[in-house]
Formats: sequence, C-alpha cells, structure tokens
Amino acid sequence: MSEHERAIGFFDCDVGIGPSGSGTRGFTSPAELIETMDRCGVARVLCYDLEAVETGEFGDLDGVLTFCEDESRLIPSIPVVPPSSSEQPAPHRLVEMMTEAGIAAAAVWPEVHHFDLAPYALGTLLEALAEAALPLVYHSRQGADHPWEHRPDWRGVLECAREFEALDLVVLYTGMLQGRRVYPMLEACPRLTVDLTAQAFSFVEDVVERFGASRLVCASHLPYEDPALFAAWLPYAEITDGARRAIARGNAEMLFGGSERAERATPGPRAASGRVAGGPG
Amino acid sequence: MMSLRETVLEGRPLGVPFIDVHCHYGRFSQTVVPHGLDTSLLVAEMERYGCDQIWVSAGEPGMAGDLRAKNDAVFAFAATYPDRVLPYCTLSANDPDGAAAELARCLSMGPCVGVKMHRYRQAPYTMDAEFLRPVFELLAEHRLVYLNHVFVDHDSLVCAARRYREVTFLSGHGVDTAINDLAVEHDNVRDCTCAALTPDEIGEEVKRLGRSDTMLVGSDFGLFNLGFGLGPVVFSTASQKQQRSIIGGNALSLFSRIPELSSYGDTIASRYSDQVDGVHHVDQVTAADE
Repeated sequence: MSEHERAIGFFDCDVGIGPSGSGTRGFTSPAELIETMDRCGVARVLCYDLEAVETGEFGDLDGVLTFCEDESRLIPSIPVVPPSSSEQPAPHRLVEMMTEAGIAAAAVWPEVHHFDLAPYALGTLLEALAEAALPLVYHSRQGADHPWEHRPDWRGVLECAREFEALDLVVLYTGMLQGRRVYPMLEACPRLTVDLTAQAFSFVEDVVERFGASRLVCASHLPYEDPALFAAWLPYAEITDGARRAIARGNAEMLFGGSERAERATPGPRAASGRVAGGPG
Repeated sequence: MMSLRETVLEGRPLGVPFIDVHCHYGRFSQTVVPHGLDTSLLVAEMERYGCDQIWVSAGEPGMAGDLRAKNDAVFAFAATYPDRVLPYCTLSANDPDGAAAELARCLSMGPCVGVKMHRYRQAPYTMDAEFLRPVFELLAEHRLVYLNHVFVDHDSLVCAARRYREVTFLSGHGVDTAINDLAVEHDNVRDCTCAALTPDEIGEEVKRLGRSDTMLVGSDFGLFNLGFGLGPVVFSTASQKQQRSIIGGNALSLFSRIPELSSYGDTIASRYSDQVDGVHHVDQVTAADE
C-alpha cells in the first residue's frame, strides 16, 4: 500500500467477520480480512460477528472482540435487540460494557431478527446510546439481498431519529432506487448518515452540495459485496479533497473511531460542513 | 509504472483503452439520478476516469414511454459526442411487430453499435422469438452487437449464436459463469461485467476460466457512476494484462469484427499505440498468453 493510499485509505463501515453458515464464505482470520482490505485500499473497518447475527447469540461479545483485539484497523460493533426481550444486559449496563470493551457501535438487523425499528421497541437502548455518544447502525441488508429493489425501513429510521435527536443513526445498504427516500430523510434527520449503495450518477456530488460531506460513509457489505464498488467511485467524484476524505474515512472515524466521541456527546444540530455545529468537516 | 488499482485510488485518468459497453441515457422513473440528463457532466466524468468511449442504450430500456423518442435522445447524445458515445438501438418485446423497423430507422440515423433489450415489464421472450429473426438478420448484415439484460434461455442463445455468426451476443449483467463457458465455445458470445457485486467476482472468474477475453466492462453508467463497473475489475486479483483486456482490449477486438465501426477501434488504439498493436489483439488475453 503506497503512502498516498494510506492517507486516503477508506473506512469501511460494514464488514461481517468469522464463519457463516449461510453459504457465504466468511473471513476466518484477521489476516484474511486485511488482505481483502488492502486489495481495495481500505484502511479501517467496522466489524460485526457474522455468526452472532446469524445465530442470535446476542450475549456473546467475545467473538468480535477476539477477532479485533490485535489489529487496530478492525473496529468492533455488536448486534443489539429490543431490551424487553432480555437477551442482553439492561441498556445502561450494556452501553457501559460496550464502552469498557471499546465497542464502537450498536448494530441492528430488524428485518433479520424480526423486531421493529421503533422507539417502542428500542427506546431505552437508544436513549442510553445517545447519552454515551455511541451510534446506532441499521443494517438493512438481509439474506440473499440485492440492492436494486432493496428498501430499508425508512419510517422506523424517521421515528427513532425524531425521538432521539442526539443519536447518530447510520443506515447501511440504502438500496439503488431509494433516492426519493434518502433525500427527504437527510433533510428530516440532521444526525442521519447513509452509505453509498445508491450508486446513482452524481449522487455524491449532489448530496455534498445539498447536505454537506458529513452525511455519507463507505460500506462494502463484506463478505457479501466488494469494497471495489465504492473504491473506484469516490476518487473521481467532483468534490473537494476535504469532502472526499470525510466521506472516505473522516466521517466514519468521527462516528466509530473513538477519539471524537466525547465531543459528539454534546447534542446539537449538525452544520452542513461538519458533523456537529462548529465541529471539523 | 502505476498499477490500474493505484491509478484509480489516486483518481487519475486510467491511461489504457477504456470502453464501457453497458451504459444508459434517459430518465429512470424509479429513482432520482442527479444531473443524469446533463450530457456535458456525463462526458466530464468520462474525462476524469480516462474513459474513451461508452456504448449507450435508453433509460428504462423498452419498458416505459415512447421508444422512438428514447432512441432519438440517445442518438442525439451520440451525435453531440461522436468519438465518445456509440448508441445502441433499444428495442422492446412490448412492440415485437415494430422491432425490425425501429432498428432500420436507428441504423439510418448514424453510427450504431447494435441492439439493447431488457427484460423488466415486458413479455417473456427467448432468442428464438419470431420477432427477433429480422432483427438478427439486420444485425448480421452490419456485423453488430446484440446486448440483452440477461439471456434466460441458453439453448436458444446458442442456436442464435450459431445461426448468426456475424452478430456478437453480449450478456448484460455478470459475472455469469454459464455465459463465460459458452463464450469459450462461441467467440461471438460475451459476458458484460456490469453489477459484479460479490468479492473479487471477476478475479475468481478469470482464475476459473484461465482467460479474460470473454468479459467486457460495463457499469450502467448514466444511471450509475463509471466506477461501479471499473472498480470490480481494477480491484480484482486478475493480472494487469487481464484487467486491461476487460476494460478495453476485448472491446477493441470486437471492433475488428465490425468493419463499419472499425475506425472507432483504430482511433482509440492509436491513443495507446505503445500498448496496443494495429489489430487490437495485444490485450486480448487467452489461456495461451498466461
């Protein structure tokens, strides 16, 4: 990896690690994942335990922590479910455990795990996450999904964003035909960030111009899809280098990198040029 | 010399023949495509990537609106940028009786690389459909390309490929291993890589086949960005030579099969004379080359 690539290097917000029983070949070792990351110029990734998501082992944090422990380029996240089902510690205790263990985000798969992305189901957890400035990542991809006709639960996102204004919400796998939902959502939810699944011509340029560079992140959906899909797009987007760096890596570092978490804990509207009003772009 | 992967990560023009064979121009009602009808922005993106030429069919091809008007818009785009844009005539199974006449009309409008057909919101059809016979005859006469979204019935595809040897049958969305197997047997069947989503899909296919001359890069550019097609090639584990063949070398070889369009291939090849020989075959990588 050249010096320039390291400077640009992408932060990929959606990588499943460990074995899978779904017929998809998962990454069984950090070295194997890093080989794929290096192939596509990816510097860091936000990981989740594929097996825990597939099997519903929501109490097991060890899988992802063990996988990531010796490699600073791998950032752990954990799947969460509605607190009422008592499959995980109570929200504040869970968030405490996440913070102590260096887990950067809570992630939900509402369609896969059959619950509603809604305040009635997740409210106490969302409150605890917002207080700790931990983002909620909504993985909307399910099974043998294809981005063409994929549609996330935007109403659920809207409800959660409106009720928990200080919560950072990240929607992954937005779908290729969802532009007319993505734009109003970005307008309605100031702390919403979406990935680049849209692929539409000039989408990056248009979102940056209208909403600022802070609203986009890169996500490959490994091991199902390839980082190449964003890695050959962003370098050519007609945006400033600052905006390019923010989308490629900076926004995700702010959300998941840890160093800026304390700053984000103070609720406030996001400016077009930065994640928090007055904050860095 | 920088690898294609390094060139892309730095956002520089590619510097090798780059011909995207699966693009669109026109509205897509199903989603918003910012500035998708702005031809100068489309060509500006081509410039940034170093894309020499795009082969373009209509937006929502054959499934919405007035097909003739859609074809007119694509051919007008091509007329504005004659060196950069080659139009397909888009046809539809919703108008089988008018298909051959519409192709003839498009052929009379100027350079045309062939026919594009889709599947969505159309009656099912296979390559032995009666309405396609005069279409294939016209394409054979001009030795042009027939691009389909996907070939659903391979038996009728093989029959058509054997009967119309002069026509190149291009499968619109890959990587399709069955199409590539057919392409090894039939040099007028080819796979377009558009929407190769899974990790290193193209590298794995090149490894499986032991060759890269069966695939041509495509991106749905116009609806999507050029990187959607280019990324899975340049970030694959295929060799540089294999990548170059998929990005442009194989399309240049295809031009050599089409006398009335061969000057396009010559022009593009001349820009890269240090990399491509006079008959365009240097980048056509087969098992024997590897």
